Amino acid sequence: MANTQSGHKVHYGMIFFFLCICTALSWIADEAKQNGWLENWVVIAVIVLAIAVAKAMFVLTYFMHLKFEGKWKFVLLAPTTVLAIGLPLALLPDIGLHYYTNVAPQVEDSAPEITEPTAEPGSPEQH
Amino acid sequence: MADTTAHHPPTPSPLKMGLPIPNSKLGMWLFLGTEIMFFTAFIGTYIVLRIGSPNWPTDPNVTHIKVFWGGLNTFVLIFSSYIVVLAHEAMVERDYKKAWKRLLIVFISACVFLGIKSYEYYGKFSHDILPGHIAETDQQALLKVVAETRAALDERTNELLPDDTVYDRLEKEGLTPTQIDARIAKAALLDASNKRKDLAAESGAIETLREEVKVFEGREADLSEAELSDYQLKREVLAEAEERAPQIRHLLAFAEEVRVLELHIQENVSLKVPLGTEDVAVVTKEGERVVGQLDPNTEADAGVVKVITEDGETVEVPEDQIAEEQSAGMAPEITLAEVTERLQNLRNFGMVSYGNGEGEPKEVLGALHLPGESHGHGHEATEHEGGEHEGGEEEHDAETVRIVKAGEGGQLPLQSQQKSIEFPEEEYSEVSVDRWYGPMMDHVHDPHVIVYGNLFASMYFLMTGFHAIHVIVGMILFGAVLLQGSRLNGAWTDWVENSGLYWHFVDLVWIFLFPLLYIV
Repeated sequence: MANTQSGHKVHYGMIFFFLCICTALSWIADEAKQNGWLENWVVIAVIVLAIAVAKAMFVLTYFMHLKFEGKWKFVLLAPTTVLAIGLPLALLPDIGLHYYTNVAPQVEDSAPEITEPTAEPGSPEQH
Repeated sequence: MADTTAHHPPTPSPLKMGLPIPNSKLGMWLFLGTEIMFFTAFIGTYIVLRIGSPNWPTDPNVTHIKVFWGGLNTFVLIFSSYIVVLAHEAMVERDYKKAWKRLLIVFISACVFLGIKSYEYYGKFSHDILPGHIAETDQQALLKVVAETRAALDERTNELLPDDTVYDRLEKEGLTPTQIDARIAKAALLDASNKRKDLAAESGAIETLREEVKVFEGREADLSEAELSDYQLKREVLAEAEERAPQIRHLLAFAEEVRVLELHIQENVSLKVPLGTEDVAVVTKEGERVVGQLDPNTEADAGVVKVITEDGETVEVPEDQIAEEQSAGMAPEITLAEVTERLQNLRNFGMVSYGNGEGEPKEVLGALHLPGESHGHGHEATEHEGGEHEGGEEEHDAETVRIVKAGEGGQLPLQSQQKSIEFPEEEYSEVSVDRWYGPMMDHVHDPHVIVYGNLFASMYFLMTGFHAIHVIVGMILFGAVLLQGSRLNGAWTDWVENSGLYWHFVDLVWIFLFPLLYIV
């Protein structure tokens, strides 16, 4: 529809520029991780995902013209969003975050070991 | 009719039903709604599995995921999204020529994206980072080595003796096709291990032929006509076989190496100790307990028992000092580092020649180690015990060329029995090896343990694969417009807008896949 564009002159070049900046920021975050400037895995994840969300919003709002669409966009996107969030929320308690120790064979070595009281190193054997 | 209508008020414009957008656009948005759910199911599952799996592989050296290529692809998609917007703008402005050109740029960008993606996939395939192919424990890594060496051996066997050759040979014996099939099925003639027996026979035949030819050599003048033609024929056959003979010999030698490696892995016995020796614990009269394996070279009447201990040392215990001989039931276990070292040796095994360019270079059968060669395993070695120790050794050997000499039978000796030649790198300028097992070992990967590697690979290929399919569909949508060429007109405006929406969505998915797969 031609009329969606008329009157809403968006400077698409600027949006493109922002998206490139955001990509560069993600790359810097990765460099920070690789070089050990930033060691907390959660912080890095939050940063890069926040950047991704910002990029997604730019694309949805301007490239996909959602800013200039009618109220119908909410009708369409709300149920989608609910279903999209529902799946991770449903799986997270069991597979993602669990109180029990993982029993997969791969994590045999990495599972936190139950520390048993051991003899002092160098102490003579009792037997 | 005319007068009745005159009294009615003018008919109102028909009530507008539905949403104030074209049906095609509504259809596209509904489709994109389902697509969002489709991809968030993948992404959500990935995030959950990622959180729930301790030691998820993230090291780029292990996963072979390079943030540069992912970042470049992100840029390519963002750029193409931007151009799509401009193309749609041009369509609205009725500048169809400009729109067509811009869509062409989008199409080319999509090709570039897929090109980079294929390059990345190629890397995954060549490093065997594929679902179900990755070893997650040391045990699995060892079994994978067995499977890969065996597969490489069989493949090479089939290369040297293709099925057709077997058929041809039987045909020459005058058998009918049904008889041939029956014979092959009965004796499993196409089985690689049986083919190796045939190849061994062939190798022997070549040797016999060579000796037969040698008998005639130098006395051509004395030969009768029949003998001369026989000699000529044999020489021709031999000349043809000459190229094949070393290939067969190397294959058979490799088969033996594989057998040794396989047995050690099956029995879980260190490559330091020979198989078939028994585990013993010898208790001396003084109460000392020597645990290890009986040295197979112990002579029966020597009066001493030689025991190879776990450290690879040989302890000699005089027979009259032994109070008791027990079964220890413990041979040192095979380790991944050992196997990696042996594979490295097999890779570089062959006739090593070294010289200064003056005179004949010296030649020795063995495995060549050039300085700095084993650094490729650095990250792998650190995962295992003894990795640090190995690292130290490497540093020490930084400038040294080492040649592990072959045993008497031309085999690579077991680790504890290896003898090597060492010299500083600068001593010989020309060092090279004619790799005997190259055709086989090129198909064998060094063992790597990647915890959760299979799950990682499955998720990686699932998500990027489905995304790539979407890119291809987008290319078809734009390709349809591009095919219009100069006939492109206003009727295509909605098509371009909707394809554009779809393309932005493809970009949107990648915006999330990039940080999740490449960074986090």
